[in-house]
Amino acid sequence: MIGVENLNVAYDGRYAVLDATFRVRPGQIVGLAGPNGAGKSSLIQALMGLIDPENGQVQISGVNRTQRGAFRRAAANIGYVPQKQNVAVGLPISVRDVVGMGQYGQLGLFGRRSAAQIKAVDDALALMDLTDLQDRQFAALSGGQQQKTLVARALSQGAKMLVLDEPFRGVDIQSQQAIVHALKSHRANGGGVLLVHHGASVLEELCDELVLLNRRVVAHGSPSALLAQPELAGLLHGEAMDHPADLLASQPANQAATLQAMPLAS
Amino acid sequence: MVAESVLLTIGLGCAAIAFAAGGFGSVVSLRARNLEADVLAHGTLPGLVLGVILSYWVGVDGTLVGQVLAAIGGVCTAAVISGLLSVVSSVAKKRLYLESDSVQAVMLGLGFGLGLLLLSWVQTHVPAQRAGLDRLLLGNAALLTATDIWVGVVLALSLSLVGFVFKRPLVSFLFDPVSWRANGGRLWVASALYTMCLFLVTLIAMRLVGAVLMVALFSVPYLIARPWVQVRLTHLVLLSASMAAVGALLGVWISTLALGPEARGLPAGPSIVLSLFAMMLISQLMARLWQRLADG
Repeated sequence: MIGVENLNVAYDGRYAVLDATFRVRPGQIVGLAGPNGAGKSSLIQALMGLIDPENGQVQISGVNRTQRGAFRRAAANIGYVPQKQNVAVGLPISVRDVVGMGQYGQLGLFGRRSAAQIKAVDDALALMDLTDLQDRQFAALSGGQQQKTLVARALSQGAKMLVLDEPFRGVDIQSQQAIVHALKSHRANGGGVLLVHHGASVLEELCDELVLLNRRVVAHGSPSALLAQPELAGLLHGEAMDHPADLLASQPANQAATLQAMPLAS
Repeated sequence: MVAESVLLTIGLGCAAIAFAAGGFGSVVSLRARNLEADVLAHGTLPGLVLGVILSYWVGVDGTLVGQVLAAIGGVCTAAVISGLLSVVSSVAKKRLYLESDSVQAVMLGLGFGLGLLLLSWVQTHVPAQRAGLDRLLLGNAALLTATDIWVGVVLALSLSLVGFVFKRPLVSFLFDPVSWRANGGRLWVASALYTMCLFLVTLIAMRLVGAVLMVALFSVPYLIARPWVQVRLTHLVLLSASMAAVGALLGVWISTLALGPEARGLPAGPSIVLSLFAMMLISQLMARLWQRLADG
């Protein structure tokens, strides 16, 4: 299980994320959506231990971020797919080596892989339809194929929980379908996924829960129920709300109930 | 005959130092940190000069203690310039929306200007040749001591060992530093290891090519090797290192033997860098030709 509770993230005294609370359980895909500048990336970075939040709880597999060493080890067991602009695409490296990179933390000094680890790499390549491209240079692939390779890297890690930061950005429809299929398989096998994405159709198709963020968590619930509301659906298209608190106040009582902080009991 | 065996030893020493610089330089180039490395190389200059002066006054110039004093001085000023660069770059980016290359250029000018000022001042106070100051700018392979050569060999072996032990974290860090950190990698450890290697390689390889041309020894071997390696980072590092060693041998040969006795005393630094540059042109042209042949 991964989750945040009453999380605040600030840069130079300006809050990027305010009082965010949600969690992702095994066997569940949770979508995190919101307009540009809503704090999605800041939240993911705080969750993965890349930045220190102002305050609030971050938990991975029951380990709180304040337990530094244990939290780092717990974070190492999450399959993380960052935004592609963070990746040095031009590095001379093969597709297979990128996928195998997901297992680096599990290998010894000489880097020998067990039969199970080799099979995990093969399976991840096959699931992403990359087997024929495995010896190609990563830089020589299309944007969609590169994104599929990064997802395959997270899958080869054997992680129970996956965190994907905008995996469908600049991706063709075929690659998108392959990634959607892989995430559904991961869920079916008992894995959990936190997915940052803007597109309503994918969120509706894929997610069990949707967290709409505009610095605060402005809504949290079933994707179809949330996206049926025009003002919430508009949030995905960049129709930012200047004062999210106003929306919170305007929620009907049953909607507001879903916004209450949930304790992070594992 | 004796002179030739000395030259062979110097050549092999130069090759070992260049091997280390070329291999590490490919990592610098892959991180797109060549200008930063150049700032650091120029930043060592004032400290090296001060260290050399100090060792001369104390009476340990030309000894290992003198060399260590100079190296400590170089590391200190380079660290100060490097720290300044980091702080000013961060402030400039946040407050002035300036890209870091402007700040890097300013810091390079600061380090080099200060170094030149000190160099010209001490020319009247310290016998430059005795103190070894004359090789700081352009390098001089002929002045390499047996200690320099052994240090170069140990450096090359040490960096190869570091590269072997940390191969996977290094590849992961170079490819995707964000995921590397998210999966438990410690940025300060990687930065400290990288900076330590950069200091060591710079201080030792500067004796070969000097402060001015140091960055060429980092970047040109990488450019020679890059067109020939597509999918193996290890091969790229090894090929860059080997090409740097070949370039160093070629440069030392040109500066000592090839042009006859009247040309001896030619600084090795420019000869090595120009040899590498010629190798780069040939490599790039051959790669294009090879590509055309492969495409039919």
